[in-house]
Amino acid sequence: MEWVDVTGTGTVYSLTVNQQRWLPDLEVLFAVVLVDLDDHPGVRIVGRLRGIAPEDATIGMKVRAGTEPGPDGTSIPSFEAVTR
Amino acid sequence: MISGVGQSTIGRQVDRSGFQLTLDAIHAAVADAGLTIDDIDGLAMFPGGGTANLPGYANGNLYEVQDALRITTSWRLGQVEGMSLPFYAPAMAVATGQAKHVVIWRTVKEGSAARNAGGRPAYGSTKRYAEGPLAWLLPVGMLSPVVQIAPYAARYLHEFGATREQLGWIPVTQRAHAALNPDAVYRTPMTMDDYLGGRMISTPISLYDCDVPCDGATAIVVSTADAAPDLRAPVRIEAMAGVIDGRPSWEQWQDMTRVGHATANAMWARTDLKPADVRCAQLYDGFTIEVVWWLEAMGFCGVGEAAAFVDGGTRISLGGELPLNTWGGQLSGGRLHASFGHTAEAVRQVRGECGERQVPGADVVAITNVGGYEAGAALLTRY
Repeated sequence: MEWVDVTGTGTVYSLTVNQQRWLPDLEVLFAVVLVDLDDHPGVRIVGRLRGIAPEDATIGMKVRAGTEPGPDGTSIPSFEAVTR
Repeated sequence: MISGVGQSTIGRQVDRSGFQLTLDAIHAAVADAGLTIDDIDGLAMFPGGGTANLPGYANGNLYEVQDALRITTSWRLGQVEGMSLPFYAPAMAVATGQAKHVVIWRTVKEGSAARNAGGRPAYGSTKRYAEGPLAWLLPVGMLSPVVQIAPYAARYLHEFGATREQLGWIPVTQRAHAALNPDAVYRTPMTMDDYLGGRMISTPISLYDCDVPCDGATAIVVSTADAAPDLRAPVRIEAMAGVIDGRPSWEQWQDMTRVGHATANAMWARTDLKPADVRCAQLYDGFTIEVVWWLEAMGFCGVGEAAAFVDGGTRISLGGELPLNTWGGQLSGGRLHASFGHTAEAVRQVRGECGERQVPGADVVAITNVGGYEAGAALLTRY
């Protein structure tokens, strides 16, 4: 196995808008998107969608990969909508 | 063959320990088979491993159960991954002569766990850091099986134009069946308005698309065919299969509208029976969408046709062409998990022991388990 660089744009294959507070400090609502990377067939990444209202997320929308800060200095995958 | 099935008291909360529930179910299953505890020489449970991966997993410890039964065993198994179906490994154990009568059990205290947690517990509630496959899911907020399955349902609705009103006939119809099952957790009628009024958990999955956390144990006795003369009412395992043909991962599964097809195809390849021969179907229903997968994978309808198949509830009701989850399923009967409840009902249907909810002439009954990347499918027939 080895690391491979991938480009950061992709298409939302599917999604869900979570409304349940599973943990006491979990903020809701939020959208989780499953993103197929455009230039890398078979590579799918899961992340939060940021920058738009969760209910505006749609299957097929174009997004760009990034990260957002997680607990204890970690980074968590997240996506933002690509606007044209 | 499956020789016995037995269950403890089942309810939202049952005031007995997991250990007590397990022993209740084992004794009931052994008696149901027409055997005594001393006849049991194999023990198995799902999941094994001794540690709960969700609060309320209450199988206990295999050795403690053997000690309580004071028996001698020649085959034991505590399975975590790769179960496929509850009776899959026990059937191979008796077929290869490792044991004559294996009992496998599944015990849940998830109803009590949910009450204690103030709601259905999240995966992330037991450990600070996620491990293994969950490490990809929990940090982004996919903290429950609901959130992990929801994208499958969203994609299905998107691709086939199915509606929640159509798929809602699955939980609504199963509730009507549960009304005829004295052991079901929820038995009061549910209307389509009730279903649509259920609060949204993770779109498009709402409250009544989710199975009901409960307390209870189910035990199944699997016996060698040689023992048939000693058994009260054995049921034949006509065919079974469990195939994983894609990436074994909730989020990496490539086509989320087609789940279970390889398993179902392999199962049908092992029998001369056809989907039209099946008299009733006990299809895994952790969530409504899982029933959709199995209706299509098993060939009870075509791909993309499940919504039309269940619409109105006629075909899947008692008296319809394919009565579905006649005990209420996990959606109303209770989350007995891993198709243990489905298997118990299938055995009782084949024997004709289901009382008011009996399907006449149920000589071929289908069982499926989970879907997603772990999957199992089987047919039970009269012995």
